[in-house]
Amino acid sequence: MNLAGRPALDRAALAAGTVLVALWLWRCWCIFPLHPWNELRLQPSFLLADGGAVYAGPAGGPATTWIYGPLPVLLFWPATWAGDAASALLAGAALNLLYVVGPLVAFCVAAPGEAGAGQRILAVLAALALWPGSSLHYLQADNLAVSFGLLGMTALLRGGARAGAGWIAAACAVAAFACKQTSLEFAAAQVIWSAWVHGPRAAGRQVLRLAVLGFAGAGAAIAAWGLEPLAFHLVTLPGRLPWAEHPGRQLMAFFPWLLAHVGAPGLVCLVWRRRIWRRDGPLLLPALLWLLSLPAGLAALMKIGGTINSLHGLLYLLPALLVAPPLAAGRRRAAVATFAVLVGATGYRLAAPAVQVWRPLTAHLAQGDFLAREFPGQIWFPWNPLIARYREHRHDHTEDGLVIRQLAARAVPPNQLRRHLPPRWHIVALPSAESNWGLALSLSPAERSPTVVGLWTVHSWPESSPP
Amino acid sequence: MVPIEPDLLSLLRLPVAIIAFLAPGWLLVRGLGSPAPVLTAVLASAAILLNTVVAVDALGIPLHAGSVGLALGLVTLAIVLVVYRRRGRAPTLSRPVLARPRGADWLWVGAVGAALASVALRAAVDPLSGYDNGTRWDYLARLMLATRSLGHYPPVSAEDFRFYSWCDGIPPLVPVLNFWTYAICNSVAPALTAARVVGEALLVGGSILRLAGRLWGPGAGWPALAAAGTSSLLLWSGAMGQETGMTTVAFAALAFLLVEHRADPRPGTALWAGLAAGIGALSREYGLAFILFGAGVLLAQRAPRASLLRFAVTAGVVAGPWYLRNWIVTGNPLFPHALGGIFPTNPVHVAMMEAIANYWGVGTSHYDARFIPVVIAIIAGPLVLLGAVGLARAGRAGRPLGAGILLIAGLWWWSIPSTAAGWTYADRVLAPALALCAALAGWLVRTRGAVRIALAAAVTLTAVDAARRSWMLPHHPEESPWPYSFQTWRSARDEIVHIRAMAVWPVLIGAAAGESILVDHPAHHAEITLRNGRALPWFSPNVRAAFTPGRSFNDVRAELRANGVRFVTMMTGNPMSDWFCQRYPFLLELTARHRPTAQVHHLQIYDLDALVPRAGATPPPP
Repeated sequence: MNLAGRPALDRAALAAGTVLVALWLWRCWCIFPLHPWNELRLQPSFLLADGGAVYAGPAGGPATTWIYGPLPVLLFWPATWAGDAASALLAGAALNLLYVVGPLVAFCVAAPGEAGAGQRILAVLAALALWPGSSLHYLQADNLAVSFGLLGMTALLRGGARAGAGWIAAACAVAAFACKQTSLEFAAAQVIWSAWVHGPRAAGRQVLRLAVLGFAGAGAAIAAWGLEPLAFHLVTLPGRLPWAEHPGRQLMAFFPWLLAHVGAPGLVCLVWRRRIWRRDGPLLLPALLWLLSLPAGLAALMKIGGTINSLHGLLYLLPALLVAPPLAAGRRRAAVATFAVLVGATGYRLAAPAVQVWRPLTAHLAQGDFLAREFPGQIWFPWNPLIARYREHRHDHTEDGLVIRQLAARAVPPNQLRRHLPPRWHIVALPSAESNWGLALSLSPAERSPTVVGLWTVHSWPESSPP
Repeated sequence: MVPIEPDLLSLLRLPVAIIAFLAPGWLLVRGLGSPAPVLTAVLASAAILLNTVVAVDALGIPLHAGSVGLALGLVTLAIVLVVYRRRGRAPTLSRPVLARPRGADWLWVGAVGAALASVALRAAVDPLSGYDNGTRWDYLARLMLATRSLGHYPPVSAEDFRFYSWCDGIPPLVPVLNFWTYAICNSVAPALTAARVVGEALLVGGSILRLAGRLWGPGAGWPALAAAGTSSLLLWSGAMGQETGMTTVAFAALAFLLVEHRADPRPGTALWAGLAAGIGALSREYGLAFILFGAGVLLAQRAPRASLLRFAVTAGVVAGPWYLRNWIVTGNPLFPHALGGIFPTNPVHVAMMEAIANYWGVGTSHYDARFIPVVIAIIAGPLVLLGAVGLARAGRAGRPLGAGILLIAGLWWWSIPSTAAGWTYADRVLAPALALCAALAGWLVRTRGAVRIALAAAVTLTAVDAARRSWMLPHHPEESPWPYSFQTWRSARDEIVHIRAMAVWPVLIGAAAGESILVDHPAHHAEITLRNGRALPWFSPNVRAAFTPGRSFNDVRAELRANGVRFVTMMTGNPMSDWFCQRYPFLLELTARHRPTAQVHHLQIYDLDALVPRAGATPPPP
């Protein structure tokens, strides 16, 4: 790397960039427990650890938010070893960072090319600075799918036509699919790439590898959880979620991210098409991945509740562009521009007033635990299932799980509803700072009264009133 | 009595106003030669008109069509005698810039047509739609017409604040252009200003065209103009009829002339660059940064001393007189900016800016980090993206433009906590940077085949959306692209008209019986003043007692009455007024302990002669 023209200054710049990125990652780790979504998405791992039904049938088990593949449930299982909800969430946050940052570092370090060690470190730092914040402080099935995509891409780009690389790439494609069932782009991209670069026979062999590992993985999952519950959660529920009511407004709400994930890479792929769309180019596979991820990503965005995490194709292309930029400009200019982007992006993120956080945000969990202790068997945390799990060893319905079932026209039957609510339920506790779907409150009697207790808004009604 | 509706006679006079305005600048350009004759002629004419008006006013001569026209005629004659007759006609320095489109390139033309139609129709159908026209830009033009003077501007004394509501020292280039149009046409029909607005749009287009041609070759003009059409922010910034049309013209022209000077370093080009920078400084006070920018670029180009000198002297001669006048009238050349206490200013205005920053500033509790990027992406994102690719491809030639974009982005960021109407309204400051992005987007001409057709189609579709979306600004930037309806604009428009047509004003003016009404909103001041009532803003020295610590309620009330203030009006739900009520005891006592004498919609009216305590409120201490 030739950033400042002198090795000592280059090292100082890299050290400064590392500090900035480390601060950003620390903040992501701190803020992770605050998001109730993370608690909802950790719940299936706890169900697994407690011997409950991760994929319950239409009429059984608590309604969870999990309508994705089983691999993340297994990968976040170590978080269940923690002694309380706060520690579990912080362990989940650390695992999430490990699963996101690890494969990214592996790709930037191992991707073929002439880039030196300094440029590769700079690429890792810049990629992390530009990486969507939601991937770093939210537990998302997409995070893991992308990570497996990056690992598989590394294997293919390094290993070429070798069988070992093909098997690793196929395993990663199956793993990505086992994280999020719409992540088919890596399987498709590696077949097309193999045909383009190594010929149709290589592509045929890759299809065979994918089929063997795919059937093996699917067989194992069916053996563990059963075909019907898996199909219900992975196909029926997401498939029946309605489209967004106002697609135009949905489009506008996500416009900056659409520009970043579709517009900017599209322009790059057009403007530098001769450097990207060539058989021997290191950017061909990442560009294919970006392109093939678009249909499913855009469709998911247009579903009700769809958000930008579905549109993740850029995350394959970004590190590849940073390691092997298509710009004809000199290396020093490219390095300076990358460093400027790194400093600008992390500076903006660290200065953003909305997230001035330097310590783990777990106070609400301690307060929630206090409430659960004071009202045993009476209080429902529709967005914070881990509090009841730790205090009362019980898994309740989650509001998002119930809403998904309702939107998919597969609502939990009334007789099943009470089975997974507190036995003497007459209190609903919602985090005051977070929005909710309103379903939990709609299930309670109209005469409930709200009280603010610390970071919670507690809605209660006389225990005798039937909800 | 000046008619307020456009009539045939006023429309027939419009060409006269335009020709008389353009004559001195055109003759100057013909005499000196310019690489962009039309552009520099208009800029020169604007500089001459403003400085002529300032000079006529300084001599104590009433401002009207005759006096200003005669003075302009004398200046024109002087140009003919000194420049044109002595030097003769200068050789043509400009090059043809617009190639005839072929085949799919007509798509670019379609995008340009949609953009121009959008600006022209908005300027004619919904003229002067910018919020501040009613209290600042166009209001000052009408005030000049009514009082035949610039004497009440910038406002300092109590008498000044009777006629002008806000603490401003902004150079009145746009008001003077409107004044000239109204004076010659003998009409204050707002639609007459459409000629200026469309002219500014054409000049911005011309600058983009020339700049793109210089960067990417002669065919780059149409794609660059089409790219400009994709930004509803750029279109709205001109169509709204405020100052940002002129700042954009000035900055885009400056950028072109600086790039031209690098390619062909004639001192004459630096002179025109100085004119453009000076016009920037006359369009808005932050335009003074354009002069520093131009000088910086020339220094970076290692321009000859003659070029630097011409640039600096021209910019100083064009912009200097206004800031000198400000210094003489207010004691502060940059009034009302105190610049850290170096110059005197209005203390209530300082408090008002604090209130605005407290509400809209980055980092306040109201700040939403998500809102700004979403809106910017929608109203300018595709253009910024095309410009960014252009910047990467342009190499060294793109550097001054990149620096210019950074400068404008910095000014925009600085303006956010100073803009009372909010973030989207502050976004218009970005318009000059968007013009540079459009020129950088000229790289589109280097694409070929299906890629070119696909990009042209995408740009055209985005431009069609932007043509409508600009009409929704600043209220509804996130409007869905379909159905392609103007219903939202109509609703917002009806709402504004309803506020202006509140029946309370004539009643209140009648009840005040010649005494003053203290108002907390400049639009209310304008309404009352235009109806021949007496309004006072909070900034007036006559009401300073209300904002002086340590004064008792009854003491302040007595002083206000002694200064002829009868009514105090306050808007409910106005965050700035709420902030002032919390800070100043008189306003707090008035609103917390007394019932309004009357309330009409959001307007609370307090009669200082008949204050009624609220039930249960303890009387204020004496």
